[in-house]
Amino acid sequence: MSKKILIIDDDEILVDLLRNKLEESGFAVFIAHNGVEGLKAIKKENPDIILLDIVMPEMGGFEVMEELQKEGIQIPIIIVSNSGQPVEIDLAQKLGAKDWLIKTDFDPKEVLEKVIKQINK
Amino acid sequence: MKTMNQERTKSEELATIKEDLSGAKKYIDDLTNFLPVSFLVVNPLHIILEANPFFVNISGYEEMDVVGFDIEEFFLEKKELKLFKKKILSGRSDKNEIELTFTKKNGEQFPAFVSAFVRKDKKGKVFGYFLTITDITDSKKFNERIEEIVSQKTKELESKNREIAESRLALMNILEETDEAWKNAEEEKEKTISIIANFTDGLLVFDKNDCLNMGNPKAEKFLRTNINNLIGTHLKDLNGSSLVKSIVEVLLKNEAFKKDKKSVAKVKAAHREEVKTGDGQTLEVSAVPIIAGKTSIGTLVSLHDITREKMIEAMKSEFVSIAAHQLRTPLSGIKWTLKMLIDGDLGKISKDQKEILEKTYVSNERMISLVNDLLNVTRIEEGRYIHKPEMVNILDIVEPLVESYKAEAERKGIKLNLETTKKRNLNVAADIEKITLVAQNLLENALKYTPKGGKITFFVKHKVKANKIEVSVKDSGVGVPKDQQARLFTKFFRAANVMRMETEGSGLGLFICKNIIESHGGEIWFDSEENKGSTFYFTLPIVTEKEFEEFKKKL
Repeated sequence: MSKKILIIDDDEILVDLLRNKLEESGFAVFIAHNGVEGLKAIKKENPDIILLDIVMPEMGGFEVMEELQKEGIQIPIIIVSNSGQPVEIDLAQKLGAKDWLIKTDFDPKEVLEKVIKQINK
Repeated sequence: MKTMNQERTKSEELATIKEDLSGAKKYIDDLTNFLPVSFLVVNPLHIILEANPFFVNISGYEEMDVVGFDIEEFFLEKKELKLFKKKILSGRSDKNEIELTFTKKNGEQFPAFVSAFVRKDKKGKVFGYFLTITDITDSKKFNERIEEIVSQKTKELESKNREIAESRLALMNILEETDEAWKNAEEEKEKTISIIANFTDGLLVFDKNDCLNMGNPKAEKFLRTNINNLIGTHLKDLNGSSLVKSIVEVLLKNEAFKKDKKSVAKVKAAHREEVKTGDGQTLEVSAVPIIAGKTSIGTLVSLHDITREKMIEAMKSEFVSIAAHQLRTPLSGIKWTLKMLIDGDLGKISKDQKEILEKTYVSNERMISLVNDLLNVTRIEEGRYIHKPEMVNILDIVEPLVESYKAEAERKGIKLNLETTKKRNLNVAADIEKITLVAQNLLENALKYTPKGGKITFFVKHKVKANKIEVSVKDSGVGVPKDQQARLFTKFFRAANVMRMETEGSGLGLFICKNIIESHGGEIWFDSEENKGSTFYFTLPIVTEKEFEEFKKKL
């Protein structure tokens, strides 16, 4: 069975490109456009890894991580965002995120590589 | 019979009277002979009739020498004597006195006190006088001497009086000056008190024993405690609100409050720390020693409200964060789209199309780089740049970095080499990401500004004496013109010759590098000659475990 990846991000263009790349490599990709949708999708699909954006309408990435921590859900999370102050990155690490990728510094292929590395851990 | 008896009685009486008279005469003779006063008997014509032995003694004349002579023969002051004679003969007073000068037989003279006692008959007519002459030489000398002494003493007294008067004047002057100085001091004191009382920051003054001496109204307002109750209390015993406790905690760690007041006096900069008041305010607490001579006689603590500054800082931080995010969103969109087009993920493209897309991609990357640089600069200026120091071997940073650029160097036809010191365990305290950034920046610059066929060598040397690692990147590229060299590490600077080359670079790279290296306790510099090449150097101090711990504390 192919591994499941959940992308929680409100940027339509990027999400589309990323899904393209990931599906090419044989992953099953699910999409949510904000934190609320994201939490629902996690409970429904139980993904193997989550690619999480921070700045989203309705509910942002940090709130999602806090919720998951509260509920004890331990799916590996990689933050894929355009923000990234050291304080935030630190906090994310404390909340259990495995990595923080800034979108302008990584392209879809590199994100794919990180995902594969993480999934194979 | 009766007559014979009467005659017998008369002659007996006469004899008795004769006896008495001669007895009386003898008495007088004896008296005048032994009298220790010159005694002359003088007739109304002022002729000496008799002179006593004492006269002979003091005058040098024998009695026979002077009898029959006028008394004026023997005295100097003829005129005065004449008047005296008249006075005596006038009989007005029985006793007359005068001071004259007597000339002795041998010519010597002496001052004499002359006293004349007038002899009158029964009818009151003057028939002569007694003259006594007393040598008052000694008396006079004595008087003169006394007068001299008195005069001298008087002079001395006057002199002393003058001195005293002068001293008094001087004292008055000093008093006046002191008075004025005191008035000035009072004025200054009033000024200072006024300044302190109205100062917009809270001020607390501690004495040399670290006990609270005074606090101004603003300090009272901040601390929400009655300062008067705390005067004289030692810093560690200060009580009040929890804010007071927090501030005390901060101050106890402050260098200005250390025990050795002489070394405290050397503390130049005020150490500042932020304390939150608990109701939305933030205070900056700083302490600086008050110095007299070479030691600290007290400490001045200032409480500065930085609530507004913190708010602005937070707003700025938020703005930068949002701006970065907003700028990056479209840029990442473009980057990803272009990348996937170039990689052929979105369909087949022609060679020409690929070329154009690649150029656009590079251009976009430059934009991304600029946004990153701007973000970093803002963070440097807020002082929150270095985040994660670790003890690391410099070679573990440099070796993989150079390896990763070998391919690109080959593509550009440049020879890239790494030469390192033989020693392996040279540890530096470094934020790995940041130091990598610096090395990378220097290497990328070298690659950018060296033309095809050139050479770049990356050196890592151990400077034993300075106990530092020196990393240098030497290229054979375009170099930096002399007139541009001074400003190379400043913000937004790009040398003129580079601008002409149209290479990427925001101009922020070296500024950021300088900042990173210097906050690691190292130095960064370069040598360069136009068209010959440049060598960029940076050093980092080698640290032991202990030094690393201290370095972490400082950050």
